[in-house]
Amino acid sequence: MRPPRPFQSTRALLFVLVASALVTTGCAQLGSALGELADAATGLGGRSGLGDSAGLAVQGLKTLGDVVDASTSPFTPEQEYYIGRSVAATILRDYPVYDDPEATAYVNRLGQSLALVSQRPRLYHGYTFLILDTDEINAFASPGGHIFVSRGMIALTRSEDELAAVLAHEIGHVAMRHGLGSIRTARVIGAVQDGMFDALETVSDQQLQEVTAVFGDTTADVVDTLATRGYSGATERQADAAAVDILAGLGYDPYALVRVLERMDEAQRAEYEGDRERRGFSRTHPRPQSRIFDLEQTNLRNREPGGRLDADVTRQRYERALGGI
Amino acid sequence: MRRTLFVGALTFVALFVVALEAGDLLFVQVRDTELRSGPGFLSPIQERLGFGAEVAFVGERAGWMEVTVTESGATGWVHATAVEENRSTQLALRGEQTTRTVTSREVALAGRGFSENLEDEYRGQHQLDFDPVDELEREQVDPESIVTFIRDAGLREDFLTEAE
Repeated sequence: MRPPRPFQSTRALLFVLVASALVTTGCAQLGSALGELADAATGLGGRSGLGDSAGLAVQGLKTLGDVVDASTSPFTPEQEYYIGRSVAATILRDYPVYDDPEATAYVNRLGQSLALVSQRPRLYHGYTFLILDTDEINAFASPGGHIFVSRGMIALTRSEDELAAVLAHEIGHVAMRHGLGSIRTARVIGAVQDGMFDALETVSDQQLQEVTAVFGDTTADVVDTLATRGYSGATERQADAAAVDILAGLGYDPYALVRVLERMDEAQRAEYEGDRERRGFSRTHPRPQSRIFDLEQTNLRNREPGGRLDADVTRQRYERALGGI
Repeated sequence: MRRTLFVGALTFVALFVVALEAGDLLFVQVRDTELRSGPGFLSPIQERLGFGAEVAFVGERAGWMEVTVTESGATGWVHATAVEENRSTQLALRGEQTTRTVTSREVALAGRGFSENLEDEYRGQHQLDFDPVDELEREQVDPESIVTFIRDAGLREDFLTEAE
């Protein structure tokens, strides 16, 4: 069980700066404002960096995001996409897909709309969404933009705003390349640092095996983070901050994220208090209450509750599409 | 038996610095993207650009780049995250002392076939089924549906037409 995390003061300052910038720019292009501020500050992992890993760094565990200059990425969008495909295939080996075309289409329309106001609206292939057929409260996002949300997670939401909040958090992870930044398999980090593959050349069978092995390690590391280890608290706070920005960017209620987290905390109470085995998000994420606390201290400070949208329209399409869940 | 593959993977891709000048060359680093007549997702599409397409920088506005397409000569807007600066870099060939100059576009294009081969190799070794992933990827929604989705609920549209 993790108590709510106190602030790491540098990161807190950064969040306040980011929040202030968003309030003062008044610009619809959130990605640009965030990216520029991040670049100017400490390379928080803005437009193309590998994201923050302060939590792990404090523990002395090196991640790819630690060793690579935060303003660069060692992977091209195409490589991220192919790694993402393998991550997605691995996840789909363990979870059945919820086969409801209307629900899936709705989640994709919503999710892909939200992606347009993220820091990285364009990926190599694009953001796509799938519902996993499990009661477990869970969601996964591959580096390639493949995003999975469980039935159990969707059941925690009561409105389109709230579902948007869940999707926006995952989009935030992808936009900020958290999956690859959190890699800590020594062989992958070593390969990147050695510039193992930085030349155009003929490859022997032996070298192909090496490359495939590193590719495999990369995939396995990302899956391990998503399904077992979880991201650092700082990384999760970044994704929550991004979610609030994305929600506000389209006109959804930024406080919708808080409502989902409150319901999540209620649903997972037994797991966090040790009376039930942890699974899904209770295994990989900080306790929702601590996430709410952090949000209220930072990203929600200057935001009004409520969104600018037609509640009848969104309620009708939400209920029509997801009635089966 | 040797296999011949171009290995262009895992190179360092530098941050896309804002200090670009008119005429600087960029290339499309995503599978495909749209050249639009204005800096917004609702602006009419002039042309579709594929991976590796070369464009020249004209100007920038709030996350969008105005560019001229080398092949067609058309000028329009692409989202900044869809393109990458085409820089010359020195690459040291493995096991050799010499370096040679390549452009980042060449590296990206050469790496393309390699990534697909890598997936085939990995798939074979681990017996992973990629069919569900292919099916998932077909869920890409056409832009017009997204626009309708946003408009129907009266959500913010300013980002769709013109960046402020």
